[in-house]
This record gives sequence, structure tokens and C-alpha cells, in this order.
Amino acid sequence: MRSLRLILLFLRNSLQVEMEYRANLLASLLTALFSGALSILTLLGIFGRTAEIGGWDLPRMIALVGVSMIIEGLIDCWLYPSLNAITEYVRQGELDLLLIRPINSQFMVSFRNIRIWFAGNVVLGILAILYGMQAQHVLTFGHLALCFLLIGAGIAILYSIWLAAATLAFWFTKVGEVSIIAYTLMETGRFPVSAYPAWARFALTYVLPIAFITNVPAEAAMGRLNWPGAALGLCAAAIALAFGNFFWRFGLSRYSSASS
Amino acid sequence: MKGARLLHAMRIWRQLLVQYCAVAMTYRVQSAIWMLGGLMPIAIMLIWVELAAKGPISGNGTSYDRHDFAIYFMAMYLVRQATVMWSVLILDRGIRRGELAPLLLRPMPPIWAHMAEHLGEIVIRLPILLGVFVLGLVLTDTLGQLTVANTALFALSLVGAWLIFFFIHYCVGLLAFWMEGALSLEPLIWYFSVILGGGAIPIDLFPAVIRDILTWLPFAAMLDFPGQILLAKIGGAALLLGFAKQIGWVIALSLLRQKIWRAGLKRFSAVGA
Amino acid sequence: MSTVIAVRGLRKEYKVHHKEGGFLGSLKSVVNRRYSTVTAVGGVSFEISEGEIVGFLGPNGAGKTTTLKMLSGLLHPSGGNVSVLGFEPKQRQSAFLRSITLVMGQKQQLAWDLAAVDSFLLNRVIYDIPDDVYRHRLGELSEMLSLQEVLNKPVRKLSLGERMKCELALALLHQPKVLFLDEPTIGLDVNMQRAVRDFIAAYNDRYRATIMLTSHYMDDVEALARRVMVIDGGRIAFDGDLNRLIAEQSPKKVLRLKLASAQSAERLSQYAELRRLDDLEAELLVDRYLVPDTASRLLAELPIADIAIEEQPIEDVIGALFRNSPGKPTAAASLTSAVS
Repeated sequence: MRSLRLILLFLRNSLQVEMEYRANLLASLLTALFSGALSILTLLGIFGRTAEIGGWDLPRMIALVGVSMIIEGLIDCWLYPSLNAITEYVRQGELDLLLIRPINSQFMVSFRNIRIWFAGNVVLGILAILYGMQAQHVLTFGHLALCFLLIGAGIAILYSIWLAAATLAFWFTKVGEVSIIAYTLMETGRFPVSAYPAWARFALTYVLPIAFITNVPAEAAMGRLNWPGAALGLCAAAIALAFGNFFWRFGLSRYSSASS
Repeated sequence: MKGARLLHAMRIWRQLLVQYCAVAMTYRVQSAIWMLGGLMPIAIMLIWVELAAKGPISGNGTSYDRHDFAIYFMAMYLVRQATVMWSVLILDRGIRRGELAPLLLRPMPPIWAHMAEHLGEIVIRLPILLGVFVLGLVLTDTLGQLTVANTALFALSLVGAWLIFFFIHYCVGLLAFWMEGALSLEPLIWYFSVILGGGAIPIDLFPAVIRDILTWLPFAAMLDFPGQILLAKIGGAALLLGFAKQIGWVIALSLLRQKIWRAGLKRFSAVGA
Repeated sequence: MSTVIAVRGLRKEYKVHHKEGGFLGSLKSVVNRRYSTVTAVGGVSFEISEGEIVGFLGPNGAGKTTTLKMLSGLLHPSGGNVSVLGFEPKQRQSAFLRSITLVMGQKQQLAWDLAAVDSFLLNRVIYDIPDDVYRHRLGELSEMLSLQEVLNKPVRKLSLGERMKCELALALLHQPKVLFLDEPTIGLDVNMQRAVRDFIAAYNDRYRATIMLTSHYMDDVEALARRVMVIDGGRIAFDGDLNRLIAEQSPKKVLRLKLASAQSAERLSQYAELRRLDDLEAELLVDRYLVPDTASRLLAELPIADIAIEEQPIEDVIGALFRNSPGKPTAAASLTSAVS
């Protein structure tokens, strides 16, 4: 599997670069640890005053926090470094150098820069999910697999939106910080949609699909899978991936024909 | 002689602010986008307002009803937007890429330029900031609960809050003299501030022992204190004590920054310059 | 004439860590790092008097920029004494900073997003320049560097040459007594280079400013400096009159020929030492004083489409200073001892 070998090679290179900066490693490990601890502490603080949030009890909330942390971790270590680099490539004119390589361009820009040491959040997130599941005695392989599958779908949607926004760099060099939107999204996703006022729930389910990205996988982990939601989300993920790919190739063709 | 020096300093400050407001103007579109990232307090506010729908939540001798949560977190929104900081980024780049060098050649403390840069940005953001703030209060039916006195004192406390946060960020940024990873510490500052300062949960709702410790930390002076003022939950001696804590932290952090700066300059390598 | 810059035993050392290649090497370097000391400047001494223009030459990495940065207070020396205008640069006192300027090719003082004149206004306030003096100086600088069109345009829209001129004007707005110029003409076209050179000479003439100038271009140095210091490997290899350096160390010039029809190497070697022959392009090394003669003979006797007469690159000149093995007295060492 050539793609797999390439990904491993990119990972290895990124790791080597990261190891040059020891202080960075330490700092990102600490950040992951502290942010994880603080998230859990916030939850405990809230649950000291109330028994449930939007109908979700503590173990379900911990699972939700876990899902959020996994996704945030993946954003930090994968999505942000890779896709944000696209604007830089376009600005510095390095995109051409990438395009002449005999590797699919989308693959290249998507996996070239992975900051593996920010994956600490991912590990902590998995631990949180496992804990939550254990607390409710729903820790089965099936539930876990489903949860990861749905996280994958959520990431696919985030990835596609992010890629599409980054592709805009072909036309507007000052695309700005798309990442802001992603991070704000994730911050709202730490709580179940049902915890928000009625008027906000619609927006958070259909407009900013936070309900799907964080809530659904968390529910799946706890054995409370919402089948229609999951099916909808998987379809959305497939569509998003297709659109992202299409838009990337479209942008690329316009770019190549425009540059002299 | 001293008078002349002060006048000169004031003139420099005025020109710096003029300059950096102009610079921030050129970035106004990006600023508007970046402001989207400061919406977390509003999301948290919605959560707490819902939680308090069935009744006020109490702790440490006081209670918060839904209106209290609304006011408190709108205050948090304002504080967060007004204390937007990127000194860590500036210093990391300045120190490790030598971009600090031109500032060092000027007969003016470089920190003045960094402060002015941030203040210029706040000036540009002010319209949207205040707009959202007032709108939030109107929509949650809480605008009427503010008094002129409280609002004025709140604004005053924002000065201390800004200075505290600025110096914390600056000290972390100065670590770039010794390590390459200063930038990765930046998110940590925010986590600490939000959790320990009452940005996600009002400090009053923490267990008593923890709460008492937290009120002495700079984070609470930055976030919780202004919130309490706006809520009119603090007055008299406690109010004065709160301001005293702010001033104390500002002085302490400013001295710390000076020490780190001097030590760091010795190691500055002006690389890449 | 008073001494403006006095340097004794100036040193600057850096710690750099070593790493083995490969993944395993990276892994090892996380826990166990080996450091070694790199000497950027290894004990340098000299004195410069008021009004002197000194050319500071040396190959890349020789320590030129590091020395200038120590003289301007940016870097703290690892050892030795340095005094500029009676101040210790690293203290960065206000009076000191107001009397000096450092112009570095790559770094810029101009605010990127605003017009050049806005940065001038800021400097005016920072350096406390009275209004009328400011206007007079700005007018003078604009004229000397032809900045009138350029001052009100946003800096990011200026060409490299225009930006460099603005940077130069900005650096001199406060009329410093000591100028440290690090590659001031790099990246500029020939006309611009000449304009900047003329300007620096005029500035020195009018204000008796003391100038230390580094450059890769012999032309810069030849036009401006009578005295040069050559630094290599962190040490001063030569300090003295420029003409003596050229005559003793660069006795040859390069004749670059474009031939109309191919000639053999043997034929060309009859005229002078043949350094390179590619197809229709040839390079000859000719003794400085024989250049006019050799050139006219070549033009008369060979089919030559184009001819250019150039200096040897500075690297060659300086490399020649160390052609002898270490320990033996070099031509440079004897020159230095003759001067000091």
C-alpha cells in the first residue's frame, strides 16, 4: 500500500523535525495533559452543582469531552498544520514544487505536515471515552468501533470544509484564519446540543453540524446510537469528501492555467 | 528635566497609538474573522442559562440565577475580546528570527511598541465588541440590571485585567530567549486563565477551599473580578481589595517581566538579522 | 582626532548542538545532546577615529555582522572591551542609541502596512527631532536619495531598491554620528548602488560621521573607504590602507572575453594565465598593471565580440591572505604589524 508507506514516511520526517525542538515536545505534552485535566475538572465542577447537563449524566459527558479531545487533537496535529500550509504554499509559490511530484496533490498537502506530538489530546480523549463507557458498563468493542467510525466521519466533514476553505487560497491569498471557525466549533461541541436553548439547537445541528461531529459519536460509544443521525452523518461525510476533492481539483486546474 | 522626559514619553505614546491604530485598520477584515473565535463565552453562557432555567444555582453563600449567568458571561466575552493577546507570537518571532533587532536600536523600550500594537487592535475591535455586548444583554433581558457606577467600575477593572494578561503573555513570550517552544505554551495560558479565573464556571461555584485560593491568583483578578463588579455582587471593602489585588499583580508581573527581559537580552543572538 | 570606536579583545561565542543523522540520531538527541562552542568572533582589536570610513571585509560567516551587532549593542559580547562614543553599547543608553545607526540589508524598520512617511513621523517623535529640523532633514534626504515619489506609497508596494533607500533615509533621520552599514547596497541595481555610495560619501563629508561599512562589493569599498579591516574566521587578518591591500593581495584582474570564433587554450594562454575556457567564453587572469596593454593586444589580434575587465572576487583576495599554512607568518600578518 503505497499511500500507507508514504504516510508513514511523512510521519517519520515530521517526528524527526519535532525532535529537534525538545522544548516544543515537552510543552505540547504538558498542554495536552493540562487541557485534559482542566476539561475534566470543569465537568466535575459543574456536576458538583447539578446532576445532568441537557439530560446527559456525568459518564456520558466524559465520553463527550473525550470525543471533543480526540477531534481537537486531530485538528492540532493533522488538520491545522497540513491545511494551513496551503495558503503559505500558494503565497510563496511553493505549490508548484509539490505539484510536479508524482503523488496525488491532495494527498500531498493533506499529509505532509503532521505534528505528531500534538496527538497527546487524542490519547487522553480515548482514555476519557473508555472511562465513561466503563462507568456505565457499556464498554464493548462494537460500541467503540462505531464511535471511532463516526468520529472518522466527523473528521471527514471538518477536513473537507477546511480543505475547501484553504482551496480558496488559490483566488484570495488573504484567506485568513479558517482555523478560528474550527476551534470555535469545537468549543461549542463540548456540550450536548440538548443543553443549549431551543433556538440554538437547530443551528447547531444543521448549520454548524456540531451535533453530528461530537454528540453522535459520544452517544454511539455509550450504546445509545441515534441511527438516523448516524446514517445522515455518514452520508454527509461521503458527500463532503467528494465535494472537497472536486473543489480541490477544480481550484488546481484554475491555478495551473492561471500561473505563467 | 523629568518633566521634559515625561512629555517626550507622552508624545511617543501618542504617535505609537496613531501608528498602530492605522495598522490595525488595514487588518480590520481579519480582525472581524478572528473575533468569531471569541464566542465561546456566549456558548457557555447559553449552557448555564439553560441549567439555571429550573432555578438559581448557589454556592459559597451566593446564588446565580439565569440573569446573573447572562451578565457574568457577557462580561467574560467582553474581557476575552478586550484582552486578545499575541505577544508570545511577536516575541517568539522577534527573538528567534531577529526581528526584535530594529526595536532594540531605538532609544525607546520595545515593550511600548508591543503594548501600542495591542491597544491599536482593541480600538478597531471596540465597535463590534460593544455592539455584541449590548446586544447580548438586551437579548437576555439584563441590560436594565446594570448601573452607571457598576459599568464605570467594570471598565476600570478592565484596565487592570488587560495589564495582567499582557504581562503574563509577555513573560511567557520572553521564554523564547531560552527555548524554541514558547509558542506552544500559549494555549496553556488561556486554559489556565479560563478555568482558574472563572471563565467557564464562576469561581463562586467551586468548592469553598478551592475558591478561596483562586481569588488570590492573577486569573481571578482578570476575569472573575470584573464579572463580579458588573453583577453588583461586590462592594465596599471587597471592591477595594479586588482593585488592590489587581494593582499588586500588575506590579509583580511587571517586575518579573523586567527581570526576564534583562536576563534574556544577554542571550539574544539576533540570528537571521 | 579623537577615537570614536575602541575595541579590545572582543569575543563572541555560541553553543551549538550536534546531532547524528537518521531517525535514531534524532531520538538520541532528545535525551542526550552534545554541545560544542562556535567562535563567531575570536578576539578582535582596533580603533577608529572620528570621520573615518572603514571598510569591513570578509567572507560570509567571518564575523563581520556579529561584530557590528556587538558595536551597536544588539549582542552582548562573550568577552573583551568595547566602547563607542564613550558608551558601552550593551547598556543601550538612550544617548548612545540616538547617536548611532545600524543599517542591515534584510531587516527593516519601516512599518510594512503603512506609507514610508508614517515610519518617518514615528522616528521623528522617538528621537525627539524638532519639527523644523525634521522637515529640513527629510527634504535633504529625499533629494539626495530621490524619494519624493516614494514616501507616500505603502511600503509593501515598493520595489526592493525603493525600500532600501527609504530604510537608509529612516536610519539617518536622527543624524547619527556613527553609522554601521551592513551590506547597504545588496540587491540594488548599479545606478542605485552608485547613488547610495555618493550619498554615504556626502553624509560623511558634511557631518564628519564615523562609518563602518561591510560589503561584498569591492566597488563599495573602493569608492568609500581608505582604510579596510579584513576579518576571517573571527579574527582580523588585515587592518590598513585599502590601496596596499589591493596592490599586495589582489595583484591581478579578471579579463572576461566573449569570442567571435573559437580559439584554442594554447593561443589564449600566450597572453595571460587562462582561468577558464567554455566554448566562446574565456577568463584570463592578468597582472593589474598589464591590463591595458594585454587588453589592447587581445582586441587587436583576436576576434573578440565583447570584453569586460573585473576585479577578482573579494573571496579570492581574502583567501589569498591565508594561502600559507597556519603558524607561518603570512603576508597579511606582516602588513598588520607594519600598520599597528
